[in-house]
Amino acid sequence: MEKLEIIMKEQGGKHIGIIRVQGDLDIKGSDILLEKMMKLGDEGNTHILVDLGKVKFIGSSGLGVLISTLQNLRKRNGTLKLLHLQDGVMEKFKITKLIREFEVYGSEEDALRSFNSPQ
Amino acid sequence: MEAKIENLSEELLMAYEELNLFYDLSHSISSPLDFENTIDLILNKALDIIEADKAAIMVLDELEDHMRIMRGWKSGHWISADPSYKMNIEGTILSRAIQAKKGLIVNDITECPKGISPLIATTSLLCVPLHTKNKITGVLTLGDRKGKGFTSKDLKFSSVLSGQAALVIENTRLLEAYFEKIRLEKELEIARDIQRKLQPPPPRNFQGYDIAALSIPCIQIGGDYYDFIPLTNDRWGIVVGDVVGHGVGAALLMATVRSALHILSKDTSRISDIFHRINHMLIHDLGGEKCLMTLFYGILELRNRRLTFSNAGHDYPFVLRSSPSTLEFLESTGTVMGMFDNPVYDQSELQLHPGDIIFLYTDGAVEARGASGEQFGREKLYHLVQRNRYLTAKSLIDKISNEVVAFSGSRLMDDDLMLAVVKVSN
Repeated sequence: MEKLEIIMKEQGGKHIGIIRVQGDLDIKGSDILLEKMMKLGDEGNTHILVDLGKVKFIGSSGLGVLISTLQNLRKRNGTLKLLHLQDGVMEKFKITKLIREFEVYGSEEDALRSFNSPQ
Repeated sequence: MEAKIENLSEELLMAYEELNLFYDLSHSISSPLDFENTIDLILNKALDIIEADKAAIMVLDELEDHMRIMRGWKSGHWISADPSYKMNIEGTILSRAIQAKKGLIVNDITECPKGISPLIATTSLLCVPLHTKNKITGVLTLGDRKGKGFTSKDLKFSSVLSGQAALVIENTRLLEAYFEKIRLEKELEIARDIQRKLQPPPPRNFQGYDIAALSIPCIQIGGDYYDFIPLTNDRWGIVVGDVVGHGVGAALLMATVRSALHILSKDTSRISDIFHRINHMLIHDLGGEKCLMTLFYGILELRNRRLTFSNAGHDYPFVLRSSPSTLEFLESTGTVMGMFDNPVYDQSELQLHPGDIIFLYTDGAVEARGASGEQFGREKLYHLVQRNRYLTAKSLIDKISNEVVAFSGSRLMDDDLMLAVVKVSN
């Protein structure tokens, strides 16, 4: 992974943690992502949007981190949504059938607006 | 004149003591395993020549501002290392010596703002950092010099001793790290050997089929695996799995799933039931994001050439049909294992014909990276299998693995590589 950036935005009275990932979500990158998401969670954030627009590769470790975080957030009435999936990454989500677990958006505006509805 | 002679004799005596010290140390360090003797010798020299009541070698702990006593002498008794005892040195004279990177003398301990442990000194203290090439690893302390305070000559001699102690400690640490590395490598080799035995070459008595498989872990052991399980004379289980990550954790998980699959497949013939039970085991016995795995399991009826399978999120194996030469994908019938409580795992059936080829692989094959970071890709794999379809199963596997390794070039493979081929004979 080359870069990971976290921005907080307000949407419909909710704090949304937007994580922009750049580079591969391999074993090492996934560990970094997990650490950042756990930190966000520890700070009380339950709504996360992960922007994978600059991720060309996601390994099973990356999928594991995203799905387990989604499950943990759901238990706290929160959620994790995905933004800008590139073809290779989308293919991985389809092969593993994990795509149906996530809400995936093509634009940040739509993704943020979706947090308005009750989760 | 007399004073000059006295000074000269003192310097001569000091030089003699230094020479004597190096001589004794060179004998003591003849074996790297004499570490404790050498440390004792250094402390003994300090005690004898400087005539202190206490001496200790203390090392910095991983926890900042804390030190542990490695070995010490206090009023006629040795103090051995106590792993549970850590001394907070924040703001003490020891911390000041480390920060200043030079030896310090305090001849009236009451002047120390934070005091010092009575283990180290009660009246006067001399403290010299242990320098290695790049860092300070600890301190040599001398406490309560008999009769008088410490002098600059004591400090000079102690610096020689601390230099030797630092060297011995660093060399021993490096040696221990080296031995630990050798030990871990041996253990990994044992684990690798076990894993190799868990993936024997495919059976040869597979009547009417030509079979080959290959597994190359990217590090010593990995989480990819294939298996051919004899169920009856006419039915064989064909397995390909990929556990998240690499190394010992992934290999242990793989071995657990393999055992479960062997036992369960003798119990029940419904693959979707087997998958539910393995998924349950992964979630309830293990759990967490490190338990994700993909698994393909097919039961091949040899005579009928029928394949029944379930695919839990594994990279689609495919069948290259003989006529017409088309690809048919054995798509996922459910999601990955180890993540969801009650996933749906369906099963599908497929009729095979003479000349058909089943090709199974893990993602390491298609996600291998080329020189500029591009992936090998599924299309390239499909194309290669189609172009080399008339090779034997073994030659086909070798051809594909050579292509993947050549594509990766001098780069180390990032993932395990697993390939398996089942050719239906004509």
